[in-house]
Amino acid sequence: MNDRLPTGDADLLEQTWSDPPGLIGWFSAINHKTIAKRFMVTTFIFFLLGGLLALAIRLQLALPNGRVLGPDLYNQVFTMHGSTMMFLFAVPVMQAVASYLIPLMIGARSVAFPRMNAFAYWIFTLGGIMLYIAFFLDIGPDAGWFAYAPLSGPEYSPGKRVDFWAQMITFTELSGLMEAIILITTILKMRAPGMTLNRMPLFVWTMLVTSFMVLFAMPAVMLASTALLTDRLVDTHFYDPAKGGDALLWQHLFWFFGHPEVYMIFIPQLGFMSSIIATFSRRPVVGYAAMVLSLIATAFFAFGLWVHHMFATNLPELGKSFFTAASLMIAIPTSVQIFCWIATLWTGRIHFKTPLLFVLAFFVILVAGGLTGLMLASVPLDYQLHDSYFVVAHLHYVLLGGAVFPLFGAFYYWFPKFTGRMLSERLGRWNFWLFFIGFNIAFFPMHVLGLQGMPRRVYTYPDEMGWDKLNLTATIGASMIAVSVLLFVINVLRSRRRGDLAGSDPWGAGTLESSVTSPPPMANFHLPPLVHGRYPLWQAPGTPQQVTGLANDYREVLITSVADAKLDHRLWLPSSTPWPFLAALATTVLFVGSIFTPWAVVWGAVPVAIAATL
Amino acid sequence: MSAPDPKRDGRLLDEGRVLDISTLPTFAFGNRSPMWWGTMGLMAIEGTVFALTIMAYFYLRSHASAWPMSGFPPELIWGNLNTAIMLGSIIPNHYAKKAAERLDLKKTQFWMVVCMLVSVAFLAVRVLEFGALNTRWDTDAYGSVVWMLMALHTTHLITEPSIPGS
Repeated sequence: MNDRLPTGDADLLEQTWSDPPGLIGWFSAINHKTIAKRFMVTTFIFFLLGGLLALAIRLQLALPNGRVLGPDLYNQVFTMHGSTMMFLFAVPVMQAVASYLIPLMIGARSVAFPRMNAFAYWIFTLGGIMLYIAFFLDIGPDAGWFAYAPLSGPEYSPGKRVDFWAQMITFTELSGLMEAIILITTILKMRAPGMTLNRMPLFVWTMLVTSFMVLFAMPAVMLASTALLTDRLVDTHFYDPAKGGDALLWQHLFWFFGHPEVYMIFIPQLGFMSSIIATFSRRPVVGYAAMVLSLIATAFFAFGLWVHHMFATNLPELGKSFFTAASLMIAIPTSVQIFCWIATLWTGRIHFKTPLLFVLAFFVILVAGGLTGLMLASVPLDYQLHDSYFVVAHLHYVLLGGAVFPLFGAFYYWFPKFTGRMLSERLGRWNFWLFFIGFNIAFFPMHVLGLQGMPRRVYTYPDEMGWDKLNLTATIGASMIAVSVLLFVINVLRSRRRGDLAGSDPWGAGTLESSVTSPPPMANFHLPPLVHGRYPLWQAPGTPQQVTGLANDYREVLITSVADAKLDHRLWLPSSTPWPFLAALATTVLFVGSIFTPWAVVWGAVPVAIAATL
Repeated sequence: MSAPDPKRDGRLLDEGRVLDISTLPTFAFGNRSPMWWGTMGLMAIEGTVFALTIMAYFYLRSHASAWPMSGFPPELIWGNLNTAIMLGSIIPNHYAKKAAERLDLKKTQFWMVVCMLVSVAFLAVRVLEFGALNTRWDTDAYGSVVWMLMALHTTHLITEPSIPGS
């Protein structure tokens, strides 16, 4: 597709959508790609920090009676590791990648609410910074990433540690919720004319489904953590059994969020998988309708599973059986997807590049993790394995296999689009194999350790247990992972300046983001496309091909209808402004202040209201 | 098939290769507008928060031997008054919407001010409601969950009039 905008108009368009220069300009940027790149870098920094924390854990556990970390610091380290990975990395990185790619994949010039998009980034970053400042001041949270009451309550966790954790939740969930609204609205209202829901790339479907899940799941943890804060700060009794509260209420509220959360981490990866597999098989993914229905079914079932995190409580057995059944059932739609991908690979003409390698690892690692998940879904087996290293093994297999490996594949796949340069294939293969082998060496032994009775979250263990060899093996594996991630960082830093030039479509993909230059123009498309099929770049161009008439001197976008992307109206989007950043600062003051006094909510509301209005 | 209308379908140029959409309108009402979807998203979130808090209320109640735990139910007079005010606020809301759809700026502004005044009245009665609850947030779990529901709702009432105001 060639854009036929005259040079003068193209320059004006570029100018209109660009970020302002200078320091104030840096804080005023609201172009979705700018914000998304910052978001990706920030979440990746949190990934590295979380990884260093994991390495600290492994160093402590490598030998019996370890003395690398004392017990109090160890509690903080594993709490920070889990909280960082789950709240500051897993979902935000998906939203970051989506907020970059979605407008490009649907033929739009922007996301729907660019200022809210910027606000979501800033509030996320400030919340993460708050948590790490607390950690570095030795007042970091230490009650685990899911902070069970009553351990996390005022009696057993005095001081402000858990309050920082609970407020970090507020920051990150606020960001996630805003981002979800932005993605839903963008996907439903800003698709290029002709891109009916039936022609949307599968990655876009996954982000739509994930965003709906976010709307219904994240409020649960916001409510739970707010009630925990009030229990700790102003003496409410939600989780205090002495005054009619219930510790299990925490578990219900948390896991009602927590289980969908892991699917919110998983489902966008399914979209990465579909994009990468289609491109490297050089054919459309088999069974589009089955894939979409599986996504929706998975999202739906995910809300019916949460009690499987609570099998070791006094809930009625009949109720638990229901959740066993649901936990087994959710494997079905995922399996449908896996078979569709296998069919795609089988009938395609595969070319093996680094992105595909990471995606193929999914089939091994995620499937193994899913199988141990099915094992844990059985109540009697869970009674034996609850809170043991078997669970640690399971969760890392599904999280790394299901999320991190496809994410690395996605980075290799789309790095050329973001930066205009290819990552080194050679370093990529070293990165991949070290990661794959290191991962299995690190985490497979943990299944056995769990079966041998090693509990989670112990800061050390004695010689006599016989756990030492497997723990040492796991630590060696963790070191390999660390080297592999280091190679990735080196690959990124070197390729940014000296990588091969990418061109708009280095992999031969079929979707719209490959029709624009790498990196894309600030306005994404000089002339937005019309879409006539699911893989527009693999099909002969239909007519009409392109849209004209959008202003070049104003940030104008085209709004289309929800189901069939028929023309609807034009909309002017706001220009660059520092107010999202300032509003995020004001909100941070309110949130952090309210850890120390409830009056912060009242007084802090005034600057927030002012900033949000302006 | 009705005749193509440039305000709805744009114009085909360049032998049908290019679609010119400069004749499309620049705004739309209801679910045609992205703002509608954004607002609906926020409503879904807030609705979920309230649904979960109400569920927490019934959950805690299912574990209690007496409810309210301290035995003092709230007085309902102020709450009932506020329910009436809330239901009555449908009227100025309806007129504001109709005026906006007629593109009558003055009338839209007038009815939005009326809506804001209704919100203020509601908030004033809300203060009295808090006094009539007959429990404090730190009395017991019943008090905690009732105050949480009231506080969440009051927060919405305070932020809500500021949206049309801005």
